[in-house]
Amino acid sequence: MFKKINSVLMLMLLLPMFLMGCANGDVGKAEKIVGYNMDRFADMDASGTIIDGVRVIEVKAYQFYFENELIIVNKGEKIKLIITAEDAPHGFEIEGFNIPGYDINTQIRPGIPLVLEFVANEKGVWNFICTIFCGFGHSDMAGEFVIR
Amino acid sequence: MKRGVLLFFFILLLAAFSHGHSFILYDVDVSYDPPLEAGITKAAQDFLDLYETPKSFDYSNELLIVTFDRQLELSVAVHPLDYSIVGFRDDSLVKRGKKAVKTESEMKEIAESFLKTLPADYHSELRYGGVTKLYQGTYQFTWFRHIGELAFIQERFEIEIDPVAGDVVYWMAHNFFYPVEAITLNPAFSASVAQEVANLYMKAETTEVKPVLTVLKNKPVWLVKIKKIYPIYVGLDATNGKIIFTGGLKGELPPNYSYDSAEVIETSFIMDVYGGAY
Repeated sequence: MFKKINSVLMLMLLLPMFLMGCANGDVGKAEKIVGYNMDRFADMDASGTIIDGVRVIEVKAYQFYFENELIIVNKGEKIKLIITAEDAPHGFEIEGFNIPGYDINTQIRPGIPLVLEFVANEKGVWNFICTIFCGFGHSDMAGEFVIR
Repeated sequence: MKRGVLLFFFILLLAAFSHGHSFILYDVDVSYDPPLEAGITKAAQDFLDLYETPKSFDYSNELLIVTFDRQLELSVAVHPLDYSIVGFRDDSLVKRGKKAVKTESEMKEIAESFLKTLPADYHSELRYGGVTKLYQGTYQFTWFRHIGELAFIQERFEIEIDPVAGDVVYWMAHNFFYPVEAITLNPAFSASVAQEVANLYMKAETTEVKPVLTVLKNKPVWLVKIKKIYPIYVGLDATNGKIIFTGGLKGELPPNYSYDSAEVIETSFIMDVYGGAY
């Protein structure tokens, strides 16, 4: 009788611990994944060059990729992105990142660069994409914009 | 006034989170590529047997929609590589105000026989996903591309039938981007880890909706619905945990789709991430 009660008590004690262990395992794994994705740029060189206190970065858009598909800047820096279309018209958007006064539907035509100036005021990782149909493969045009 | 300000901020928030690579673009300019413009125009004109100049071109997930009449919705979807016809819409075929004659099962038969006219390797991967009655009285039947139980979020076949005459008013064979053998099917981490990853990234709460596994192009994607003031979706690359999109669904999935039980294969990459090697 006591043995039975003991077993039930043990089970009641161990089950929540087991479940918590599983949950903690998931949280631990998730923390590692998020940590990797947020910190993997920490030791990389920042993109572009500093000219008169502004980080100037050139991005070339081709069918169907960006040259400089990884842009890394530091928080607080003034940024000047110079985006050129090298073959067909392209567009540019950093998804979810607001650049004041910029219309994401702006068409960048070959020979007429788009210049975007803003302050990197928020740490994070965003995807940047082409917003103008540029041929079959348009949806593959993507890169990462990192403020660290 | 206060409500207006609140609404403004709510709209701002919506705008901030509703992103993801647009898979529909309206009125795109294809004049930079004269052979493409001429090719898709001719293909559409030949299909409809008319000589009118198109009114506009739209983009839908790598396909081009050549529109001849915006009001009557007369358009043809053309593949931009080989100029094959992959879709059509003609709303003038809808017999408005007349009594529906065709039953749902009769219309489904029409839809199925149409589907069978498409190449076998296309329709053999499709699985029926249900019917929706649309505002103009037509019925839209949808088939989703599947590998086993795993459904693709952007690859499907839709067909709309008018219940009066049984005419096909619209059909669209969405692009299949990769053959099965080029697609990674197994996630590197589980649904419950995906939930935690999305929560951590977005500083959000779990909702009652469990994560589901889907395919976007050639990648397995965990689709996680989270609550951050309001519910939004987070699409996570199931091989490395990167955010692919946030906001809307970025496609369509079968009704009540709940697949989450693919075998988790922890790759050497994800083991290194867990082990702190990066």
